[in-house]
Amino acid sequence: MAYDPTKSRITNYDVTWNAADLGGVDEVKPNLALVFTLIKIGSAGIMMLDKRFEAMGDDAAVSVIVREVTLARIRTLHPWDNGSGAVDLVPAVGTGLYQYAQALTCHPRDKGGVTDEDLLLYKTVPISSFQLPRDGKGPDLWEVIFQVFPDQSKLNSGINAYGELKGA
Amino acid sequence: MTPFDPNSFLESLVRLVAAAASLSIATPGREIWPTTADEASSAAIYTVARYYPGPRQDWEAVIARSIQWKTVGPTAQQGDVGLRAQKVYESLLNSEGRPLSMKTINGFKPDGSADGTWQIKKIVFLQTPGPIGLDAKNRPEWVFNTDISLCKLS
Repeated sequence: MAYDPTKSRITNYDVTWNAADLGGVDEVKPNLALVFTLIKIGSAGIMMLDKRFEAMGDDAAVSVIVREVTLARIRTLHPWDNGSGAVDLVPAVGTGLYQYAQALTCHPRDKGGVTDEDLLLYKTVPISSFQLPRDGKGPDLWEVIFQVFPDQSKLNSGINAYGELKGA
Repeated sequence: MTPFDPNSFLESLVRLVAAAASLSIATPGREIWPTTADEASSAAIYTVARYYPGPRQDWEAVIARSIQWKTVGPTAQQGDVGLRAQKVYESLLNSEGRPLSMKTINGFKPDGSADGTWQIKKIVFLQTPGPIGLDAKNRPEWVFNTDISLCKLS
């Protein structure tokens, strides 16, 4: 099939987490590797006959380079923060993260108001804490890692529990 | 591959900038031109957009062209020449101040008749607007150069 330049795209994402717009962002990199069980049988030796999907990998995550670093955004991205006073960089020891899980949406900017290619992950938690390097020469580039969890409310229904591209 | 008509694209781009920067394309007093200006029909300060040979293009089917934006005007209006160049520059930015990207624009043939649509995939500014000296008539010139990736949509 011939290459069609009209379908070539250069775009970036608008990112929303827990209904909060993350402002101007640079690279957004989803790492959504799947984990499978390999199906083999003794009579076929080492031959892999199938792969059975099990889950997204434990390290499934979306990396977002946040450029507009404000205190309000820092609080948003430390969801265990109580909203005033000092911002706790980490939750209390032993705290389960799933209680902080919220939807993450990555919207391709060139789609304008059309959301059919929005990447929606049902349950994610920012886990990178405030790891913002600064050198006085370049702009703030804060890499925020969103851990991807399955939506536990969907597990019993046997359907996709992680996320979707919204579609038309 | 659809043949690329550089003259129609430049006409379309000039009309885009004219509309965005509120520059006249009516004569006399035209303020922005493709390729060359008709001095007699130009305003005192005017801009010319013209192609120049750009960088190498590797294995890539998306068309890319290099376009220079030159603004000239009377010496006594040096400051206004700079402001005009800046206005042209800003007309190639989106609302958040980044270069236009994935922007669909109306197409025009060199005679001004409608000609479908183009898409600007990406603009790379090689410079910001700045004075480079005087032209043959001793008028100050402000210039910036762009590399523009594009395609014809319809």
